Amino acid sequence: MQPETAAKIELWRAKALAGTITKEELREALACLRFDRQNSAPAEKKTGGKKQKPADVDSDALLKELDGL
Amino acid sequence: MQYPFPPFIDSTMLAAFRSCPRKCYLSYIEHWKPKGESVHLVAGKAFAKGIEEARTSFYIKEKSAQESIEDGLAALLISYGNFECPPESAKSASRMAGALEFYFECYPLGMDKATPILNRNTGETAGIEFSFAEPLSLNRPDTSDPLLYVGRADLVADFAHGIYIFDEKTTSQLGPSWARQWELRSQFTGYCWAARKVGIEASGVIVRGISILKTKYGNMDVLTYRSDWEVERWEEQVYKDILRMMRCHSEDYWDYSLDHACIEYGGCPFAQVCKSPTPELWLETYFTRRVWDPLAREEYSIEEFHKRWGGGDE
Repeated sequence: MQPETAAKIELWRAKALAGTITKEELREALACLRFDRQNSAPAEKKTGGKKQKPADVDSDALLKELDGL
Repeated sequence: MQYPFPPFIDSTMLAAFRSCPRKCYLSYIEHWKPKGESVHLVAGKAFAKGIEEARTSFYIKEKSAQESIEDGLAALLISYGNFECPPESAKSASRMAGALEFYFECYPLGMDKATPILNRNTGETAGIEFSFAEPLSLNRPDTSDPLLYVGRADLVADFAHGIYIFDEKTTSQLGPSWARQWELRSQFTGYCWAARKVGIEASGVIVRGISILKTKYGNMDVLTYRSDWEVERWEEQVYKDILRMMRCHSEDYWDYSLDHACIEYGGCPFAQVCKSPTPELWLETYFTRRVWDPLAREEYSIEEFHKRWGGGDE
């Protein structure tokens, strides 16, 4: 969550607890949360371990070997 | 001094007893709770409150979906209160607020196929926050009142030509192992048992999981059925367990697990108590005595609790 969004939610939380939050502020809070979620960077996909680089294959050499059989 | 046997049993107490009778005793007979609030309880309660309020506004007060979710957000923030979320937890007030918005993105009011059931007699919406307190065929040891089995399910709804009980769960990680844990879950079989007691033929439970991480949310639905024989077996087992609890109470000795239960789910809060030759000192220092009322979803002092439920002449 963007720090600005979190800070705004904290302000609105205080207002909700004080009973002074308005309908417009709640609407704005929801819009803010929606925007923040839709624009968050997707989480990096983690895998179990290091990815193995595929071995370099000399296909010409392999074909020559087959021809020599 | 012997503490009174509780006036009701719920799924959490049963789970504690089955895992470690001593933990059940410390938590639900002597009512020791760790000092300070748990972020999981605060956040979970706030999230449930937000969803309940939104559903009530939409289905009962017939407000628009937008207005209803706004009501839910306000209720969530109020319920979260002034609790200071630990920095390492993802369940801050703002993240929980975001989870609520995400929930209604996944299950939009007015388009959610699960709609609260209606009261057969009045036609009014009845399925939001299904609370139950069903008398068992066992009396409290200290009074002649029947022992109650209590609980509170999030929603009973019409869905896919059947009736299902819905339960929202927040978690840090969804996936196959998260989904598998619900198949035999006693809490849910208890919901189905209680629903059938009041004439609601619930086919099963649908668990809506919402994962809350620091940077993203996720969701997963799990459907788990409960057939008649499973519910009957559950009831039989509950009676056996309660009779064992009563025997522990009458003997004033509750067995220790001293095994896996001590380290599961992040570790038992009483692990250090059980490790200490002077457990009472640990309890007095690190714990406080509070009682969780699962129907009211509030915590009370021992005195307040006994005023509500009776008993407890300590």
